[in-house]
Amino acid sequence: MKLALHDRSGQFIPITAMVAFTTVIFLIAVVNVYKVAQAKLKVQNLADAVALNIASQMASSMNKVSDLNEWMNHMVDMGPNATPSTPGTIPDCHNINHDLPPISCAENPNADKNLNMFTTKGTAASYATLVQTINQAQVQFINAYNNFIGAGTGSNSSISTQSSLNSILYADIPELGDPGTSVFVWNSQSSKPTVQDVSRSVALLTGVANRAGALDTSGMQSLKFQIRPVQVTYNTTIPIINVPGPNITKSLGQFLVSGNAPAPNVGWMEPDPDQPAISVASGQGGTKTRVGAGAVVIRAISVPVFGTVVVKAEAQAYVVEGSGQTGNMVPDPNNPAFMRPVFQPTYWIKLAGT
Amino acid sequence: MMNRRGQAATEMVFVIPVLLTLAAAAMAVVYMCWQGIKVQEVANLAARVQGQERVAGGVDLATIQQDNGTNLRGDIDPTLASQPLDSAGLEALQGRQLPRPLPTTVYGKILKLVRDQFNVNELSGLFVPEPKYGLVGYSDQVKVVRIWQPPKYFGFNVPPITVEATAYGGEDSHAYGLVRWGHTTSGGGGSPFWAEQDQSNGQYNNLPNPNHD
Repeated sequence: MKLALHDRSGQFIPITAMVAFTTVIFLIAVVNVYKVAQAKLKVQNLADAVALNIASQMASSMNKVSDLNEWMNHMVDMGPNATPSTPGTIPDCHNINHDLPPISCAENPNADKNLNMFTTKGTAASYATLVQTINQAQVQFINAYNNFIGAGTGSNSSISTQSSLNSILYADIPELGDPGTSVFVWNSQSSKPTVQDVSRSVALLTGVANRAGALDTSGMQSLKFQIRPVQVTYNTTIPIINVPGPNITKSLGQFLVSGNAPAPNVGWMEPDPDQPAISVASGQGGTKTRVGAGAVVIRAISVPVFGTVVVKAEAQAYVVEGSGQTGNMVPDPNNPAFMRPVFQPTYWIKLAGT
Repeated sequence: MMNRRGQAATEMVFVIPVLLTLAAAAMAVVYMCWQGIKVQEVANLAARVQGQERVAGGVDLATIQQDNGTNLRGDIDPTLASQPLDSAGLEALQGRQLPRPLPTTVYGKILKLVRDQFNVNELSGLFVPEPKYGLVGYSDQVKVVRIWQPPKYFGFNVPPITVEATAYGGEDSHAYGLVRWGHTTSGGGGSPFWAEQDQSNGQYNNLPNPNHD
C-alpha cells in the first residue's frame, strides 16, 4: 500500500482524465449558456416583431381614417385661384366650391356669412350623402383592421378574428409557429396577461420542448372611432316672390332622415377618447398611456443535461403621440376666431421600454 | 514488466494529442458559440434597420428596388444548398464576387452594419442574403450566416461549421397608402427617403414628432 502511494509513475492518465472531465463539464456549461443566450435574443426579437407588427396595423387603421378625412378635403379641384392644401393644414376656405367644400371648410354652425353657405338645401343634402358614403367606407376599414388585429366581430360568420391575426402573424413571422413557442398579445392594459397566465404557459412548456405552441389574442380589443357631426348652413329662397329667405343650419345627418327620426352622425371621423391603451415607460422613470400593443413570447429549448429550459421576452410598441392628426382643431388663417379640423395620416410607431 | 521507467513519456505520447484535440475542440466550440450569439445580435439589429427603412413607394418598381438595394441581389444564402457545405464548396462561395448594393440603400446599410461587427478575417465567411418581405408585409425577415472553416488538424480536413440567425422587423406604418416613399423623381435624385431612423444617433429624421414622444 505504502509502495503504491509513493509510486509516481503513470500520473498522466488520471490527470488527463480529470482535465478531460473538467473540459467536458465546461463545454456543457458553455453550450447551455450559448443556447439560452441565443434563445433569449431570438425570443426578444420575436416579441419586438409581434408588438411592432400589431402596432403597425393599429397605426395603419388610424392613418386610413385620417387619410379618408383628408381625402374629403380634396374631393374636387378647388379652382385656379385656390392654393391646394397639404395634409395637416387647413384648405383655403375662401376660394372653394360652396356646394362641394373641403370637409374642413364645411362647418357653419351659426349661419355665419363669413363661413361656407350651401347654395340650396338640395346641394347640402347631396353633400351629406357623399360624406355619409365616405363615413361608411371608414367604418368598413375600421372593422377590417379590427379583424386583422384579432379584436373585431368579423365581417361574416366564416371569419374568425383570432384566425385573422394568427394568419397575419404566422405568415409574416413563421418562427412563431415553431413547436414550443407560445405568444400572448394585448393592446389594453386591463387585458394584459397576468403573471399567472404566463406562468401556466411556461409550466405547460417546461420539460416538453416540442409541444405545439399557441397564440393567445384574448387581450386584443377593437380600436374605437367616432364621427364628429358637422353643422352646415344653406341659403333659401322664398318662392313666388323669389327673394332670399332665412339661412338654415342643420347637421349633415339631418338631411338624410325625414320627420323627427334621429339623425345619424355624418362628418369626419376621429379616434374615440375611450380607446384601448397600454402603459409604457416614459423615459423619466414614470409611465405614459398610449395606443399600442404588447407581446410576450415564451419558448422552450432543449439544453444538454438539464433537458428543457423556458425563456421569455416581452415587448411593447406604441403609436407616437402627435405623429399624425385626425381632427385636431386649429384656427382658420382667414378667420382666426373659427377653429377648423386638420388631418395628417402620418401616424408611426416605435418600440417602448417595458 | 515491472520496470516503470519511461512510462510517463509513453503516456505523454498518447495523452498530449488527446489533450490538444480536446483543447482545440473546446476552443472551436467556445468560438462558434460566441459567433452564434454575435450573429443573432447583428441579425436583430439588421432587422430593425430593414423594418424602419424599407421603401415601398417611388416612381416605379425599378426606383423602389434601387432605393432598397435589391436590384443587384447581393449575397447568396449558403444554407439553401441541398447538401451540407464542404471545404471546397465554401471556397467556391468565398470566391464569388457578387455586385453589392450601394451603402446608401437599405440593403447596403444592412450589409455595412453587419460587416462592421466582424473583423476582416471573418468577412469571407459572412453572408447576408437579401431581406425577405413578409407575406402580409408588416414584418420582414433578415438572415445572417457565418461559416467558419476550422484549420486542418493533423492533416484532417474538418468540415466548415455554420451558424445562422434569422430576425424579423417591421414598422411600416408611415402614412397609410403612401407607404415609405423613396426617391420621387426618375433616376433616383430628388427627395430624400421619406422617413427613417438614423442608426448612428437614434434620432428619427423626417418623421413628425411634435411632442418628442
